[in-house]
Amino acid sequence: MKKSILVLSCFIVAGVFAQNTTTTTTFSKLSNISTDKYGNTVSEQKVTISTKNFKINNFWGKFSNPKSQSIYSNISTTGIFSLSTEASFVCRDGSLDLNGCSGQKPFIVNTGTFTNPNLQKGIDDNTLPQGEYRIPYGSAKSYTPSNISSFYAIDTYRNKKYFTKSVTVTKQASGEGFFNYLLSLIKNYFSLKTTTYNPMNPSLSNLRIRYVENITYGIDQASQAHSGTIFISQPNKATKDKISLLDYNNQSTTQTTGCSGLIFDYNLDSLTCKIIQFFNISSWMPFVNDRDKTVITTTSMVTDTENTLLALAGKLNHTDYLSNISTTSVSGGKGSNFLVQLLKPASYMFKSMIHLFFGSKSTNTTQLADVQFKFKKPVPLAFIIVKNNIVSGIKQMLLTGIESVYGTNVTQCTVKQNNAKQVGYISVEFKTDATKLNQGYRFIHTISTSSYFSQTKTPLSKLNTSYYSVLNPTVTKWGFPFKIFKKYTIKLTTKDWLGWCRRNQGQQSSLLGSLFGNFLQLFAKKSTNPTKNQAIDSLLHNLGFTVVSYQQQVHNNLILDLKNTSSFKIGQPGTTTHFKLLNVMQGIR
Amino acid sequence: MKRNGSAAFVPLLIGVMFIFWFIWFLGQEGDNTHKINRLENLQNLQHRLLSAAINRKIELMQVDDSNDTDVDGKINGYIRNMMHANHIYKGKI
Repeated sequence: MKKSILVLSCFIVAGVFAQNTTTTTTFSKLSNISTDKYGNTVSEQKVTISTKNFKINNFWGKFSNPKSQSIYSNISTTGIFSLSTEASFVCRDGSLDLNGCSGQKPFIVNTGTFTNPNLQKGIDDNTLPQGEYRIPYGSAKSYTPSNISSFYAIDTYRNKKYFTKSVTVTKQASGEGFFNYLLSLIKNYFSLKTTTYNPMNPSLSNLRIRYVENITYGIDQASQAHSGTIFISQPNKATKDKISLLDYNNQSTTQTTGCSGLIFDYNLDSLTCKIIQFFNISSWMPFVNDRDKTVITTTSMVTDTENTLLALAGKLNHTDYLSNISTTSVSGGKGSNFLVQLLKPASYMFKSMIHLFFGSKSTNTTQLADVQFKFKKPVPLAFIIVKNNIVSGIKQMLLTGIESVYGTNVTQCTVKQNNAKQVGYISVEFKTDATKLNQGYRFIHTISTSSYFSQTKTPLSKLNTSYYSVLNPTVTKWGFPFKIFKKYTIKLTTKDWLGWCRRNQGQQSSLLGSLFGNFLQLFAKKSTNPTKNQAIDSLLHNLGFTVVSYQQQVHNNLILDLKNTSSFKIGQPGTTTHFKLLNVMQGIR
Repeated sequence: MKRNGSAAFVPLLIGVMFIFWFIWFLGQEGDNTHKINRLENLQNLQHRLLSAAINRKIELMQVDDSNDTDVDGKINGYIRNMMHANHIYKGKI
C-alpha cells in the first residue's frame, strides 16, 4: 500500500515537472452590442490570456534541492475591451488626423424615409426583399422636412487642418511663341470645340473638397451629429456648432453640334459651320454631318457623390468602377456608312414628304444610359435621420450598389381627354387626384398621384379584359344573386402617366395625321400579349387622352441600393474598429 | 586571570551565526524578488498582449472569408509565439 502510494506520487510529481508551460488566448462572445449616439456599433469583449504551469527556478533553493522550482498552475490576465466599429476604412491610409475621421457620413434622410414603401421597390416596380431600399439623391433645393423620398447631403465645419489634398484645376495649355500661337489658331479653327473645365469659385471648391472628405473619411469628430438642428433654409452655411444642408450644383449639360466634313471638322463658330447648321445642309449633303455631343460636366454634387462612393467601393472590392463609368457615352450621335451618305439627298426628300403627310414624333437627343453597379462587398454607410430639422438618430446601412441614371426626365405633363370613346359598350369612369386644370390634368414628377379607370361588365357587355390583364386590374364582383356583374378597376400612377407622356409627346397632327392615323388604327392588329407600356398606350389612346404640354429635363441622378443592417460586425470589410481597455483582472494560482 | 574558554567566543559565534543567517536570509529574499520579478514580468507581458490580441483579431477579421474559430486559432499561435520570444516556455528562465 505504502509502496503504491509512493510510486503514484512519484508519477504525479514527474508529471507535474514534465508539463510544459502553455499559453492560451480566449475571446468571450461579444456582449452589450448597441449603437452609440454617433452611429457606431459598440460592444464589449473579454480577452483572457492564461499561462499554465509557469515555472520559476529558484537560485538559492538549488543549494538545498537541485530541482527546486516554484510552479504556478495558472496565471491569467483578463481584459475587458470596449470596441467601437465605424463606417469608414480609409482613415489609416488617408494620412489624416484621427480627429478628422469618423464613421458618420454626410447623408441625411427624414424620419419615415426607411418606411416609405416607394423606396422599397426595384427597377421593375417589384417589391424588394425585406430590408432593402433604393433611395435616390435629392438636392438641397428640393428639401422639405416632410420629403421622405430621397437622401440629402449635409455640410460640416470641417477644420481646414484636415485637408490633405488640393484640387488641381486644369488650365488650357497656352502655347508660347509665335509658332505655337499659329499652330493653336489653326488647330482651333479646324477642330471641334471642346468643353473646357470651368473651375468653381474658391469657396465652392472648398465645399466640394469638404464634401468628398466627409464621404471618404466621415465627418470630422468635432462636427459629428448626434443632436441639434440642421440649417434648412440656408444651405452651405455650416458653422463650428451647426450643420447645414449642402448644395453646389455647377452641373451643366452642354450640347454641342459640331460640323464634320469629309476631311475637316469645322470650328463651331466658323461661318462655314453656321451655314451648314442654318440651312440644315448636313441632312441632305453627302459627307457633311452634324455631330451631336452631350457633355455633362462633373462638378455637380451628384457626380461627386457617385464618384466618391464608387472610388470607396472600388477600393473595398479591388475593382476599378470609375473606369467603367467613364466609358459611358451620353451622346446620341450616329455613325453612318458610305452608301447612306450617297443616298442622303434621296432619303432626305422622302423623309420630308413623310414629315409633311404624317407628322413625326419628336426625338430625344439624349439617350438613356443607365449604369448599375453591384458591389460584392457592400460599403457600410451611416445615415443621419432628421425629424423636423433636428437630428433624431443615426441608421446604419450597407450600400450594395449604385445606379447611375443619366437621361431625360419628364418633369411635368399636362393631358386632356378629348372625346371619351367607349371601350366595349360601356363607358369608362375616370378618377384622378392629379391637379385639375382648365385644359386637363397636370402630372408632376415629384408629386405622386393615382388615377382609376373603372368599368362595369354585365353579362351582356363586350369588354376586352384579357388585353389589359398586364395592368393588373382589380376585379370586384357584385349583384344579386349570383354576382354576375364585374367591376374592373385599372390603376395608373404618376410614373405611368409621365411614361406615357414621354412616349406620346410631340404627336402633333399633321396634314393627314389624324385622319390617316385613326383610319390605320382600325386595321392595326393588336398583339395579344402587350407589354405594360403598350397596354397603357392603347388604353389612353382609346379613351382619347392627348398630351397638351410636356416638360423634360436632361438630368443625372444617382440611386443608392441599400440594405438594412442592425450593426456593423467587428472587422467587417469597410469598417474601422477602435478598442479601449476598460478593465484588467489578473490572478495567480 | 586566566581563562580557558573565553566568554568573548559566544558573541563571536552569535555574530558568525548572524552572518550565516543573513546570507541565508538574503538568499531567500533574492529568490523571492526573483520570483516576484518573473511573475510581474509575465503579468505585464500578458497585460500588454491583451491589446495586441484584440488588435490582431480586428485585423484578421478584415481578411476575406475569415471566421471566428480560424481567427482565434491564429491569435492563439501568435500569442504563443510572443511568449516564446519572451522565454516563457518549458519553464526555462
